[in-house]
Parts: sequence; C-alpha cells; structure tokens
Amino acid sequence: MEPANRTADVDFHRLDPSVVTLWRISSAIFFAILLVAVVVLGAILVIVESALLLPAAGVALGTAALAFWALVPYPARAYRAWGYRIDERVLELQRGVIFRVSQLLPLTRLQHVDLRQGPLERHFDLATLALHTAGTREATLRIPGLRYDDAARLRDHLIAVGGDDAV
Amino acid sequence: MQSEAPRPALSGRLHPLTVVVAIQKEIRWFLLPLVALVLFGTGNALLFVPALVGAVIAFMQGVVRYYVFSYRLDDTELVIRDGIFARTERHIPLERVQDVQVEQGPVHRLLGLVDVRIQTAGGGDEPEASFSAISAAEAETLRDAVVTRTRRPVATDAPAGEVEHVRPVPPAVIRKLSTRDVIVAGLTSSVIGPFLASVGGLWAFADDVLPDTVYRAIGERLSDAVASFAAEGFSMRAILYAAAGLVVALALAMAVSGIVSLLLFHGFTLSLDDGNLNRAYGLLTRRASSLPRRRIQVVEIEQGPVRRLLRLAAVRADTAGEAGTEPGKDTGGRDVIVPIIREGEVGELLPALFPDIEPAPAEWRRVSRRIITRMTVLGSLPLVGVTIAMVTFQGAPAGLLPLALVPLAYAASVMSYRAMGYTLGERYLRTRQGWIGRSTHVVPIRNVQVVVVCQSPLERRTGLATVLVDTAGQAFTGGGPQIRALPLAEARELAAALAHGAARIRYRR
Repeated sequence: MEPANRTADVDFHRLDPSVVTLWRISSAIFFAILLVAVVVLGAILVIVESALLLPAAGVALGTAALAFWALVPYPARAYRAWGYRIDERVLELQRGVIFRVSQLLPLTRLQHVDLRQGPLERHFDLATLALHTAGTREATLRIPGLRYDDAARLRDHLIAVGGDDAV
Repeated sequence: MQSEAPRPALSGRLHPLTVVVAIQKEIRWFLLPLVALVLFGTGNALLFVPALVGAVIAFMQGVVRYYVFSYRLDDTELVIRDGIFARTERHIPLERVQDVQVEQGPVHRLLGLVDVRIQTAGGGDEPEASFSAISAAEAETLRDAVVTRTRRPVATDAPAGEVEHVRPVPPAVIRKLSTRDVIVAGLTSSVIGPFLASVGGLWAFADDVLPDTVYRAIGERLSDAVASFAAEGFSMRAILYAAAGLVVALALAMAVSGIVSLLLFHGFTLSLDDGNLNRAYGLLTRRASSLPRRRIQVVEIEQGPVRRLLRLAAVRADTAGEAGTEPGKDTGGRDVIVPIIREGEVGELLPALFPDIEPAPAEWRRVSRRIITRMTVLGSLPLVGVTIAMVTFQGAPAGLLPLALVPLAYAASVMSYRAMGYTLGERYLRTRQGWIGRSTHVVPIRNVQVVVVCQSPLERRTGLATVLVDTAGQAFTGGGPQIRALPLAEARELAAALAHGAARIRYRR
C-alpha cells in the first residue's frame, strides 16, 4: 500500500461564513412553528385538565431551551466543525458537533453530482453539492454552504477528476 | 445456440399457461380453508367471495399480460415490451445484468414452466425483468444467452495487470451439500425469532381454518393456564412447567427450522462456470441463479452461537443488484453462497469467490483495550438497575446479589475485545467481531465506495473512533463491515488507506 496519509498535508476548506446566518434563519423558522404548535397544544390540554399546567410548561420551556441552543451556539459550532479537502484522488468531508464524522470519498467512485439551490440559499447566493456514489447507506454526501460559483467550479473539477468510472 | 459470431436475435412471449399460474398465486391462501369447508362444513362460505373475485381478475390480467408482454434479446440488450394503456419498452443493456434467477415452484413444475428474474445494478425492490412463466426449455436458452452475452473479457475480474486465467475453465462444482448438511444448517441457525414469528402466523392462520369453537377453546385453555400460574406465583410446579414448555418450544423451533432449511436448500449445489457462480437448490420450489462473480461486493462469514460452537459457518454475499431489499425480508436464499460449511474450509472457498484474494492473515490487528472498560460499564448498568430495584424490595444482603455478575460482564467484555479485529492487505480488508456468535466480513478494497470515521461523544472522551466501510448493495449483510474502538489516529490512517486504495482501482461491477 502506498503512504496512507497523503491528505494529511492539505488544509481543510471552510464553508462560506454566511451559511451560519442561513442555518440560523432556517432553524428559526422550524422552531417558531414547533413552539407555536407546542404552546397551542399545551394551552388546549391545560384548559381541559388544569393539573397538566406544570408538565405542559415544562415541555414548552424545554423546547424553548432547545431552540435557543439550536439558534445561538449551535450554528457557529457546526460551522467550525465543517470542512472539506481534496487531493488528487480523495475528497474528505468533516463535520458534526455532537457526533464527529469524517467521510472519505475516492473520487473514482463518483457517479454523479447535483448542485442544489433552495430559495433561502438563492438569497445568500449559496448552494449545496450532493455527491452520489453507488454505495448503500452513505450513498450521498452533501457539502452545504458553498458560494454558487465555487460550487459549480468544484462540481466541474470533481467530475473531471473522478467521474470516468461508469457503472 | 451459443457458438457462431452473429447470433440470431432471440424473441418470444410468456407461456399461455401463465394464466393458470396467475390464478394459482391469487387463490393459494384460500385453498386450505376451502378444503376445510368442503370436508368439515366449517368456516364461512362468504370468505371465498374475495377469492373468486380475485381469481376472475387474475384470469383477465393473465390473458391481457400474455397478449401485451413480449421480449427480444440481441447481442447487446434485452428489450421487454409490456403494458396495456401505457406501453412501456424497457431496454436492459446486457452488461448491466447482475444475476439471472430461475425459480420453479410446485405449480410451475407441474406445468413444466419456470419463473425467470433478471436483476441489474439499478437495485430496487423489483427485478428489472420478470418472466412470470415461460417454458423450462425457453428459459434455459434465455439464461444461457444472457449469461454468455453478459460475459465480458476476463480483464474486468481482476485489477489491471493480473489477468492470468484467460483460458476457458470447464464448469467446476465447488460445493455440494448432502441432505444431512442441509438439515444441520437448519438446526444450527438462529431459530427463536423466526419460530415466534411462525407461531404468530400459525395462530392467525388457525383462526381462518379451525372451527370457531375449537379455536376459542384452545385460547381459553391457554389463558386459564397462564392465569392459574400467575395466581400461584413462583411455585416449583410453575417453574417446571415453564421449563418444559421452553424445551418443547425450542425442540419445535429447531424441527421447523430444519424442515424450512430442507425445503429451501435441498440439493444445494454451487458451481463455477467461467466467472459465473451458479447455485441450484430447493425441494418443492427449485431455484437456480447465475451470479457473475465480479458482482460480489462483500462476503460475510456468519456464525451464530450454535454454529460457532460446532465450528460451522454460513457464507453470504452482497451483490450490487439487491440494493433495495429490506433487511430481514425473505430473500429465498439469494444472499447465501453456501448455507453451511466447516469453519476450516472457508479458506478454500474464498478464492472461488475472489480469485485475487490474499491468504488469510496469521493474526488480526486488535482494537483499543479501552473498549473493555466501556463495554464492562455499559454491561453493568442494567445490573446496577436491577440491584437498586431488588434492594428496595428485598433488602440489602439478598438484593446485592446481581452485583456478583459484574465480573462476568468484565469477562464477557474481554472475550468480545479479543474477538474484534481487522486486517488490511494489498487488495482486501477483513473485519471480525463477536465472541458468542461471530461475523467476519471480507471486503475487496476495489468495492469500497465511501469510508466514514465516526466518533460518538463517549468515543471522543476516550479518543476512540469507529470506521464504517460503505459498498454498493449492502442489503443482506446488515449494513456492512465496521470496526469499532480504534484509536483516532489509527482510524484515520486506515480510512485514508482504504480510500486511496479504492481510488487507485477502477470500480466495475
């Protein structure tokens, strides 16, 4: 086997910093809906059975605490955890705040690459790259928070390097 | 048929008797209740109205299917026309064909028909092409044609530069199982889960078949027995009865498992014909499958507790064609390369599956010893819970008894640790885990798709990591190989070695 740690001397690329704001906005939308649902449901339960006031309040407070965590400290930490790097043969992604995960993709295994841009992403001029392999559980790897032009360039590069391995 | 250069295009349609097969499939679940109705006059005649409707619909569908379905096979592709309103024409490039499966159930056999299914790399639940009923002779021709035309130059079988076996090799029987082997395979498989499932199924089935009064009487007798035991509490009698019941249930489970194995695998033969693994097996339903050997993604050597004790193993494989199969679903034995084999003979079998395999490692690389502490703590947690409960209810000295099992948890952890290991060779990765039951994976590095290094919060505290290897089509071997509890640096190094090794070799399936 040739020297294993050839990627070791390449630095990780960061995502675009504006992705933190994007994550905050999308989490805010999600948790706003969730909080409204929890509060409404809790209110109905308390009206029906007043003894449920304490547990209902507990659940609502818990949700609020979770929302705070997901909105304030989490996106910044997720951003710091995210990184990707490419040498001539392997793409490596690194991410995860609670579970630390790094995924290594031999570029010859690349089947096809999707470039996706949701409405929020379009507003920030960001895009997500989805890299598909013939694998099973890890068949699709995603890199979010790339500038659209960078994502397109990265896609072209990855396809040029890897995508000649037709199944 | 399979000789001169420009081969004639092969074409045809389903056998007219496909209609009979379709009806039979629709009504077979009603046959037993029907017999009960006719013989004993029990059961509800209204039950058969859906069967009758089903049979009529199946008949019409069968007739239509016969007229709309046709196929054509030329040198490069199989074309299937199907559909009434939305006519579909499916083109299947022959080089994508993964596996040709031929099945012959009892009814098929009676009519001289077979069911042919063709799987491609696309995965998905349904086979890409399914010929529900064609004559056995036609199926043979079709199978031969597909298999010979699928065959590519041998070069794809091994990484570049290792093409030695170009000369055609005559078909060789690799493995033939006797009836005794097949029954042993059934008796030694993990039987408890399937047995419980089949008891549940039988009980539901009995509801349909048995007269209502009998069914209810059995139910009452059973619940009375349970109630009276519950009233008596822990008596010697209850314990004896329970133990006897357990033994009887286990014996029954083993008997059922042996019979199931005999039905499924009777006459199992594995042979190798120029890079194709041919398997033929089955007592009532005969199955045959030709699997190009280069399609094998991962091989798992599986030893449940009983098999490990008896130094036996089963060998299973994941192929790229089966990506969509649900785990635990009845696979009809398609994942099984050999249902039963002596542990010592696995080494001789592997080169037939992987021609370029390296010799088995002299010793396995161990994972970190820190896993012992972790497993002991995790294993002791339930013991602590039980102790707290027992101290609360029974008082201190007797209630502390479960803690005596903590050393056992430690011993089990040590044994598990010793069983865990991996070896990384030039072309193959092997992983091993399990002490009571053991599972060994053999992964050609050329089949590696993605390598993942994962650290749970607990693993981060101890500086350990888990390496997961993803390949195509991990449908049968339960999610593929993983190596737990490697020191982080070693995990990273292994992952990089696998990924770079895979990147050097073209992936062909």
